[in-house]
Amino acid sequence: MAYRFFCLQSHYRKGLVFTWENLDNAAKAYEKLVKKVAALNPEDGEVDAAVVEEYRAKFKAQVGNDLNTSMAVTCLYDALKAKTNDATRLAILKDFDQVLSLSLLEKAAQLRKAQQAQAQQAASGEFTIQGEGDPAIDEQVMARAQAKKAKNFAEADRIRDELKAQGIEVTDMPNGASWRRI
Amino acid sequence: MYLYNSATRKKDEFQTHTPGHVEMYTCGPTVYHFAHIGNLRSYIMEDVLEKYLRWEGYDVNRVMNITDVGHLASDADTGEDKMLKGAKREHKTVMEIAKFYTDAFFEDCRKLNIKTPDVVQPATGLIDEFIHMVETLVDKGYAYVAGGNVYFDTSKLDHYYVFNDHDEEDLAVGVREGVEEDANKRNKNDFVLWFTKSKFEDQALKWDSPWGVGYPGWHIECSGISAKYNGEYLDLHCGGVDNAFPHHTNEIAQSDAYFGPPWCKQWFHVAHLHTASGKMS
Repeated sequence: MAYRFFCLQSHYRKGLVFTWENLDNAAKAYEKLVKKVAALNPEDGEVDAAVVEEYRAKFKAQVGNDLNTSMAVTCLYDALKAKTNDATRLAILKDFDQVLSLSLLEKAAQLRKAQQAQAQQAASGEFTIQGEGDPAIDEQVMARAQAKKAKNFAEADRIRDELKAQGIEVTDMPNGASWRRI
Repeated sequence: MYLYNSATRKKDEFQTHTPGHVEMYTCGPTVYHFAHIGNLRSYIMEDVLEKYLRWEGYDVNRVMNITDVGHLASDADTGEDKMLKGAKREHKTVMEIAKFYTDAFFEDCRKLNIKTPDVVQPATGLIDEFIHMVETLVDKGYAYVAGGNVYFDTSKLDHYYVFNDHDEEDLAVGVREGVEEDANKRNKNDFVLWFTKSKFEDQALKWDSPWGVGYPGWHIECSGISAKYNGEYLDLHCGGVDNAFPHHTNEIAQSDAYFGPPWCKQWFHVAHLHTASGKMS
């Protein structure tokens, strides 16, 4: 998708120079764009059809002029800054993306979902343990995690050694730990 | 909308033969290897064009070929068949190669959000149509048989170099590549419509024809496929700029001679992708 964005940023009749650096820049710009779209709140207001129509005309003036896709991308950024509510901004972006096909709304929805899941997990202090299905070991691994959280490192190390003696290896992971028999 | 037209060398207002309806043709991939990102640039821009036309309210019929026979290593009808070369490289049959790289192409397209055209036609699936077209061109006096092959006689046209930015020097490309001249040609820019005499005895795909067992030239497939699925009036023909000559020039020669001009008025060509060191190929 970064490559599609990269191609759209230049005019089709001009030679385009490919370097990994150029592609990387396009990838970063695309990621930023998705973040901006994800920050829009679909519940913010009612879609203002007159504003959508106004932006549609601007887009048409650019793309309808020998497929000026780099200006079409500029239109996308303009729409993000449009003096209107988020619902209207999203409606404009959705309309433009029928032509540009950058999956902006889909990628933004995925990002929002991932952000929400992360926030939820962090808020509940959820701690997950993946092991080989032995509740007794799970319990010990959990006890070690709680000791670590309480900054009682001596206790955490003691439990780790105890597990090690039973042939159990513990690996710390974000928001959890996994264990396996070695 | 306004679009630059390679045939008139200016921005023309886009017009269609039937109001509100667009017949669109795109040269598809030669499936002997992976498409490179330079090819994919063309398919992305053509996809945006198609989607824009639909967005404006046009009803679009988009046709694309898959070249799985007849595209020789040099665009000037010489060298080895690219498909055969691919098959040899990978110790597979030509049809296995075609299937593998066709699938790879559409997988690339899926990742890049490129819509699949309404009609996708592999050249090997329409041989009878090509033979019929070549027969018609011979009957009309636009083609001749020489040394076993059928050639298009470019001297029968008033205006061959439609895109006009090519001259005889470009035709010397073959010479630079060290390819011998085909003595059967009446004019040096004549091109093959049907091969029966090939230097490559092991050409894998062959069909019976009025001129003997052989295979179609590269250019006739696009004229044939477009004639069948787009009909007599094509509104918009797309492709990479590297195909403007000789491929598209020869398509115009064939289709204008077959239908009577003007077959297609609007030509859309996407420029090359370069690496820091030069053109990607």
